[in-house]
Amino acid sequence: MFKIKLKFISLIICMLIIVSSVSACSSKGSNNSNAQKESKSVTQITVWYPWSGPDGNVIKQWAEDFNKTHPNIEVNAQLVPGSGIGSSQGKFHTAVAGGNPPDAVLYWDYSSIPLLASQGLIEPLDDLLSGIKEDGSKFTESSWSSVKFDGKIYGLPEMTSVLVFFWNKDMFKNVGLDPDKPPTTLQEVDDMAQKLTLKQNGKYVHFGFIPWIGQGTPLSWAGLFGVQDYVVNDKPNLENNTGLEKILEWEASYSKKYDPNQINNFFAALSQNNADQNDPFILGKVAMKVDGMWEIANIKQYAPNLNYGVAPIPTAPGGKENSSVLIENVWMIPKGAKHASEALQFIEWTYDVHRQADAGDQVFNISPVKEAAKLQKINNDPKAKVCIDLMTSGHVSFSVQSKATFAIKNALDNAFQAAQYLQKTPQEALKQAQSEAEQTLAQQGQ
Amino acid sequence: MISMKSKKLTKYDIKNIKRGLFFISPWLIGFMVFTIYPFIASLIYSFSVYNGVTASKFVGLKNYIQLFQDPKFYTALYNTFYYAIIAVPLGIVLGVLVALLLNQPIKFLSFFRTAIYIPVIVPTVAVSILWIWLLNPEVGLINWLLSLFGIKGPGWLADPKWSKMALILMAQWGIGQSVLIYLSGLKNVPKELYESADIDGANGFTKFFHITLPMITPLILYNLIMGVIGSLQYFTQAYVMTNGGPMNSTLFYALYLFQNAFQFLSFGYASAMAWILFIIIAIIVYILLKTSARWVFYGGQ
Repeated sequence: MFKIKLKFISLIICMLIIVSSVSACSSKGSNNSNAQKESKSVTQITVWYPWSGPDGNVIKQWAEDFNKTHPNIEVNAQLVPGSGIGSSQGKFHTAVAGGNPPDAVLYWDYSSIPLLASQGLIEPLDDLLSGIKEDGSKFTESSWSSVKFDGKIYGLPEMTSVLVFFWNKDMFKNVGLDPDKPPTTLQEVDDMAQKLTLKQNGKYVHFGFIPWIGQGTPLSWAGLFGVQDYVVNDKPNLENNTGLEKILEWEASYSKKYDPNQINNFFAALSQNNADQNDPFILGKVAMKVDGMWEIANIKQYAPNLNYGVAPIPTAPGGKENSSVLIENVWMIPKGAKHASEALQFIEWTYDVHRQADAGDQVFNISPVKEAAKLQKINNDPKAKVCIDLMTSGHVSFSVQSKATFAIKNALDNAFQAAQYLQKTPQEALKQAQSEAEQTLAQQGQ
Repeated sequence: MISMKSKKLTKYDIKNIKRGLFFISPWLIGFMVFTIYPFIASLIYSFSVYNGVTASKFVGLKNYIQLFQDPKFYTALYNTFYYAIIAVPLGIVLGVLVALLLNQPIKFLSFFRTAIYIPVIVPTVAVSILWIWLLNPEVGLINWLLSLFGIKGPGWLADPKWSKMALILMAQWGIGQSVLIYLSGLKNVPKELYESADIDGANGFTKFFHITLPMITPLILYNLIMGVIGSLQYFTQAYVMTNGGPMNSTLFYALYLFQNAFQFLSFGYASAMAWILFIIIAIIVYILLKTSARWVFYGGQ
């Protein structure tokens, strides 16, 4: 009797352990239980967004407002740093591979679309969009063309902005430069930078300009210098690319003038490419920089008394006048999203003209919806107006949408760093970048 | 409990074995699902191109061949071995020294012992973020301390030549773990040995090198092997603090593996890297164990 009882009890315990460990595994299960709830009441959808701050608050607010007026759908907006894409790619990729992706994901870089699309991580939206009669006509041309890849539509624009040139008027005055006349060519930038750099007791107090801080990324400069042949037929074309060599030599000239170790140590304590109070420009540590127009909101918050100006980016050799670089946040639908139509419903709802105008004003971006952009109050802000004019009538460059772009971006980041540290000549750095990019593409089976 | 009388398994024996398997079945299932299956799956993936989402494609030895032609592979190996060869011996020497210090009858001994151990329980990510600031070339405490001695501190994490050193330095903050083990080992050295040495007129150094050190060699071997295995898989700190930079100077093997899997979406390539690391570690540990008999002294002999 005792033996039977013991066997019975141990059997139950075993089953409990097995059941609990299996249900802990990735839950297609939990979505099913949601499905049962849904058919009775509310469809719950999950949406990932990549940042906090004013940009993230816009998304949270949109979700709240949508939920109030749409009793059948509940949007659960989750802050996932970097949306788990890019160098934090683990989370997004794992979610898709595990069959558990969010229903929509918002990302701050439209140039990730080719890689995600070609690897099958996001869905083409053509059928869904034609079903709801979205033909992209309400969007600006630049924002709509950047969500297309390989003949299909893979995303929807959320917000757009441009890169512009910032200069500190007080620092200009201090060295005898006219504070109301920003440089118009990069050559002028180089000359003014020299006057604006101050060194005391062998230590730098502040710099005039450094090409690679702020949003001075390799592909941004490529666009500004008019170099668009870094990828040809989906293959990297970096070695002996004279356009890229020119950019690298220009950046290296700063390292040669000011010593790379001193530059990097100087900026190590300050925030790198992030919009916050440790930004070197806000702290008066650098007199000029190339950065996104959203910095205007940042400066308003953290340094409202800063006396500065905003201008089109000075013309680069080989570039066009009034050049700028497009920055765009995009919505994407991951592969395996269970409520893609509801997610699209939410996204389309955000395109209401007044809603877009308000949001754009909050984050100092330009709405991709043409009519909304006209309504935005920042049109009245002289600094923002410069940016808006650049977007509408300047020469805005994009990164080339190719499935090789991601590999090229990574390889160029390394190459540019090597040149900035004066560890390699531009030619050597590009040669290595070429093999690195080819290597990465080979790994991916392309 | 198997009957020793004959080599053939009786019905009773079989029933016993079945019962035993039944009791360990939860662990067995977990082992199969979470260890054996991924083990074999990663071996299979190492011969394919796989991005984790669409179906995998068999490519034979291509991943391995590409690995051996990949300059970043060699950079990663160099960085990892650089770190392991310096950090592990340094950790052992410092660990033993600190354990000796904490074995002395001094005031506030328990405070010091606790203080040495606390860094071990702080989460690695928190430690990493803290040390990003400690190591800052302009405003960090480390360089400030050095400046008190008139030394101009290097760029640490911002300087490709010093970034690995910065991480090695940071690793020494966590020696509390090994100090604890050495302390217990030191306490287990029989006092009679020291007494007889004193009678023979031995001084401190002789006592250390001829009694203390040999008696704790088994612990040193343990920490050596654990240290080697751990340092060859160094990941978290590099991922949080530098993500491989500047200029791939902190691109450690496990970090490069992670980037290949999750940034470049090449699971096959990453699996090949994992298997190569496995073989490297297995060979090194085997060599360490085989040669250990020469210098490790087990008390009972």
